[in-house]
Amino acid sequence: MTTKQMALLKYLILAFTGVIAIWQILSGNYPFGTGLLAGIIIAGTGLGIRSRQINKMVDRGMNPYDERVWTIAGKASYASIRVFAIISAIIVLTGSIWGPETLVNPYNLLGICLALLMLLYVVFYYYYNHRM
Amino acid sequence: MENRLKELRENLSMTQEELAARAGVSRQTIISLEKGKYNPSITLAYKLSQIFGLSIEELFMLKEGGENI
Repeated sequence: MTTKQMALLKYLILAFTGVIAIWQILSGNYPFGTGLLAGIIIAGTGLGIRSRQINKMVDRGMNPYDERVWTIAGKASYASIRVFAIISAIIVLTGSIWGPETLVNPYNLLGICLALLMLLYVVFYYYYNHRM
Repeated sequence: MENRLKELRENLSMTQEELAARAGVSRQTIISLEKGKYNPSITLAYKLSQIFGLSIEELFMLKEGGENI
């Protein structure tokens, strides 16, 4: 996938999420809808700035996604999944022994897991980017 | 891994950006290579040695005592 195709895909995902946000606002779910819309605006602005930087690099003959970036991404992914597995295992073990039985919305749980995994990835990416 | 990248680049009055463009990598990669923080792939090492007209061994040297791979 080329850089332009990747950027286009990101914009399409943002547009799709934007439609959901507007639909939620129109349905009367204002907090969720406006929160989502604010997130989309922030993400869209960040994406626009980054795309412009990447396009400038490509125009000057450089490769923004070179081997170093993939090396860092690989290390960050491996570290994230290991830490995530350890945290999950500790929660499952301790929770099944001492924890109370609670009802959890599966979508919320999936969202929390996804957010934790993304957070770990971002932290490890910046760590390895600083080290390499 | 040690290298003579900075010295050779400066001898040719080349900027990090120019070298990055010629090697097809980002400027950050050249900075990391010059600081010895990143070990390049064999392909990148070959490209860089071609740019400077040297062999890979003349451009990259393994540190005394070696290092873990």
